[in-house]
Amino acid sequence: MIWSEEARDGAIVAAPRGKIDESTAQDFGASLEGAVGRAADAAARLVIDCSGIDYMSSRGLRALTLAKRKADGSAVTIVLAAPNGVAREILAISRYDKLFGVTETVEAALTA
Amino acid sequence: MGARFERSLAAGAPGLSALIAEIEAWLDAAGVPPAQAARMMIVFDEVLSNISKHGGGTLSVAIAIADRRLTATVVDDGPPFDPLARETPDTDLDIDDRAIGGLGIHLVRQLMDDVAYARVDDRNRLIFSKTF
Repeated sequence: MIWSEEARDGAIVAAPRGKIDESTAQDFGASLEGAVGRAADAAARLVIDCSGIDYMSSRGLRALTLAKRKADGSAVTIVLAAPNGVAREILAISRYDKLFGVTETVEAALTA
Repeated sequence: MGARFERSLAAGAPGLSALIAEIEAWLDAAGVPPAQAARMMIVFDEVLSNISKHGGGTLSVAIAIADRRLTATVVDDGPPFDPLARETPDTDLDIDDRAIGGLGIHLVRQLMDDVAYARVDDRNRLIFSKTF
């Protein structure tokens, strides 16, 4: 899993790439929590560009849960943008698509 | 023509991520389309890391592909553990009320066509299959 992050249009856009599973979920979670903290400091929205995520297991969902709890506590909105078909299916099965805003594109997440 | 993959590993050993990478490469070589392979890899990650945590001496994985159908058999000699006996998590709850974890086996059930558990010869045996 490779994590990159940029400030864009008043939001923080993070782009994890690769697979999020048992071996990478800890890094993913730590990176997410760091990004939530930076979004809180900047009073910015946190957009996760999911387009580079190959697939995500329940370990990744757990990391998202922890990040969302932290985000809710500091009034940060997390939006999941551009998930591929597999990631979208995982979000639907777990109904995480009801807990998070999910958009087709990063641009839509910036303006939603 | 069918293809077959078989490996054994000491449960809890550091070789788990190497085994997962090996399975992924094998699925690719066996001609499983990437999006379908991704779904299967989520299932292998859930099942194998779960067993690895629940202890036991050895786990073995056998995967067969024939006629665009994958059948995987995962056996471990740990204490009796039926992952399917676990209640389906309530996915209607808010974020604060959701249990951390518990979703793994739910994903396995939803992503595969069939999943079955049996305790056979003092071993846990989980068989799952999917047509792709």
